[in-house]
Amino acid sequence: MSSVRLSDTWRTTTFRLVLLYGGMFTIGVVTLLAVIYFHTQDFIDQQTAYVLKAELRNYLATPPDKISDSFNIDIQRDSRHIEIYGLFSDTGVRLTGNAEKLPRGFALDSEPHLIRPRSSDSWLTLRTDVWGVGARLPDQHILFLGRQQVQLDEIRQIIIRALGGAVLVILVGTALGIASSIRPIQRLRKIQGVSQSIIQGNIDLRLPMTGNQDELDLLAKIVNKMLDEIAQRMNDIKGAADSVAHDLRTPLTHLRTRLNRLLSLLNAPDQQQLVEEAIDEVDTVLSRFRALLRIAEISGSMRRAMFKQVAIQPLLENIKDIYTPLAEEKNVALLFDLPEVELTVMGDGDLLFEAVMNLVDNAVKFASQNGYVTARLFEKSGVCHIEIENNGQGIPEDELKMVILPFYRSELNRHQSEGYGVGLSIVNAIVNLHGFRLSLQSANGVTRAIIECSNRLASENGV
Amino acid sequence: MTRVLTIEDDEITAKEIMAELSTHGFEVTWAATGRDGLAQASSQPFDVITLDRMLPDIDGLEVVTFLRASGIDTPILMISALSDVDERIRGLRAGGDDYLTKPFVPDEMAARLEVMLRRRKPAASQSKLKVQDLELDLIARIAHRGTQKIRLSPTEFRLLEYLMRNSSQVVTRTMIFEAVWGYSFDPGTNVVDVHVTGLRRKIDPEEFPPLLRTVRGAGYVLG
Repeated sequence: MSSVRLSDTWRTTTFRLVLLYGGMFTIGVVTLLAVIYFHTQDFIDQQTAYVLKAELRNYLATPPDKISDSFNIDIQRDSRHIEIYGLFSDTGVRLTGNAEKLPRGFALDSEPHLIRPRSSDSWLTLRTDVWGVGARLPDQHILFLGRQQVQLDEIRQIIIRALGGAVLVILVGTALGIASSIRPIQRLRKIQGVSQSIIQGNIDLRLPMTGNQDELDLLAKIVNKMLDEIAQRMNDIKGAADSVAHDLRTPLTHLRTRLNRLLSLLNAPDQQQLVEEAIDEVDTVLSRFRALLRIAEISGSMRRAMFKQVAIQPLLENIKDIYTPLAEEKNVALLFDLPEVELTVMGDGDLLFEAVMNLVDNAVKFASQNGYVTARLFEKSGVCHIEIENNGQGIPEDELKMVILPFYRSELNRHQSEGYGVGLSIVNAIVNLHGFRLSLQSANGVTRAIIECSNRLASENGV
Repeated sequence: MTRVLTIEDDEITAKEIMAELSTHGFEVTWAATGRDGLAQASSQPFDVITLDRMLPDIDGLEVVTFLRASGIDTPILMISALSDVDERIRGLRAGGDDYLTKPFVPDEMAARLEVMLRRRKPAASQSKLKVQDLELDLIARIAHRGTQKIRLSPTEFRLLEYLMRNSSQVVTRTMIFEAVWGYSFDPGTNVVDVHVTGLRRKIDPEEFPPLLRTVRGAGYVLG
């Protein structure tokens, strides 16, 4: 129950906040670094252009025979080996300097131009961009001065490293986000478990609180207060129901007793018959009333505390024993298919008996003449299944889900004495009390009621 | 004459109980409150007590507990509108001998009282039960009607044994269901009738006068 799936962490508020801040941080850092980078590039370009132009001016003022010497001095002084000097003949043949050749199509307009190594077919063996400036000397020789943009490269490296650092920060942040999301999720899981149990009817349970007064605690506190209120109201209603039982059933019983006494005073058979019919009517009202109260009792029952391991086979054997004569009378084959191994479930034996007996009762009642009723007990993927099947008229598709609902009575048998009505509602109440599952299937006149006695399911529901 | 103390706060119910029990030959004393009931039960000998579970002053459960604690072991039939099995178990655990849920058919109450009274008299460890010419051998698990031998299924045996042990008094369907199968809720269907009909076919062959009678609206009586 407390296992946390990664997919759940994505959804927590903490994680989403971490992700949001992480995203904002990334965008901020990238934007800032980009701005710094472009401004720096601009600045360096301007500086380079300025230096190159100044140098060009110097060289243009230098006598042609001194250029070679000046080149040597400048090259020696350039400890970083980033400056390029070249003097070429008017046909482009190198005369002196460290430049191998002139970049193709370079404009000799005394203005700095950027040369990208790729665009100028491996000009020099350089990888970096080069700012160059060229001019034709009065003797038609070509003077070329260049400067590699290594500084910009270095700055780019720094920025990339800074971005790398930011990525690391984001990764660490995400990890922290996941880590800090796990605890809230574990708490949510606990709350979910308890809530499930409350839904199953354990109205006395309360949501867990850690005491650190955070949002979840506040919420739990509100819900718990609400549950207190609901429990109180339910108790009031239960009390009212008990009073109704006491108040309403008593006059009905009085009525029945008086009719009974009246019956003993009458001699005329037709009068007796009338009174007998009246007694039957009162009995019908009383039995329906009893069944409705019984559902309320089962639903609000404290009997879970008395649950123990119940062997199902003896219970079904008993039901078989009870229903065999009735089935024989109706000419219905009653088949019980029970496994060799003993199957037990956690529950209340008397209630489970009542539930299964109701199902078998319905099945025998609705089985067609010369039909069959089969009760099967089997284990499927660790869950004990009790399945009662009969052939007959079947239940219409659109009523299948409804017939289990408490107090629902089919339009078909609302006016009949026989019906699925209260019986199935009692079954459903008992099944719910146990945290089991009741399902009904009906197709081609074969109706099947299945109780899945999953204690695992029940324990997950907190039963 | 059998003396009954009826502790019941509802006057109409009390009157009905008294009327019904008188017709069964009981002499009934009525106590309208738990306090009065306790006083009566402690001061006079009664053969049996009917006790309402919900009383205005002292709770029915407390009355039983108190009576049992003070050494009064008169059989007590608890009566209550609370039909929950928990309630029933609580009532029996507190010292009640039987439990009846309102609304009840007066016949059923009378029947239960009779059974309780009979249970009181220690049944000699019999090996045979006899009702007129019907005999049940408890060891061989075979019945005889006159000289005619009747084979019984285990269920029929339990049913017949119960009916014979409580012969000449009405037993209700719920009582039968409880005694034969051990479940204490109203089966609400005619399953019990079908079993009784089956048994009747065996023990009441046509050539014999019928022993097992149906009491309309109440149950069955043997003999």
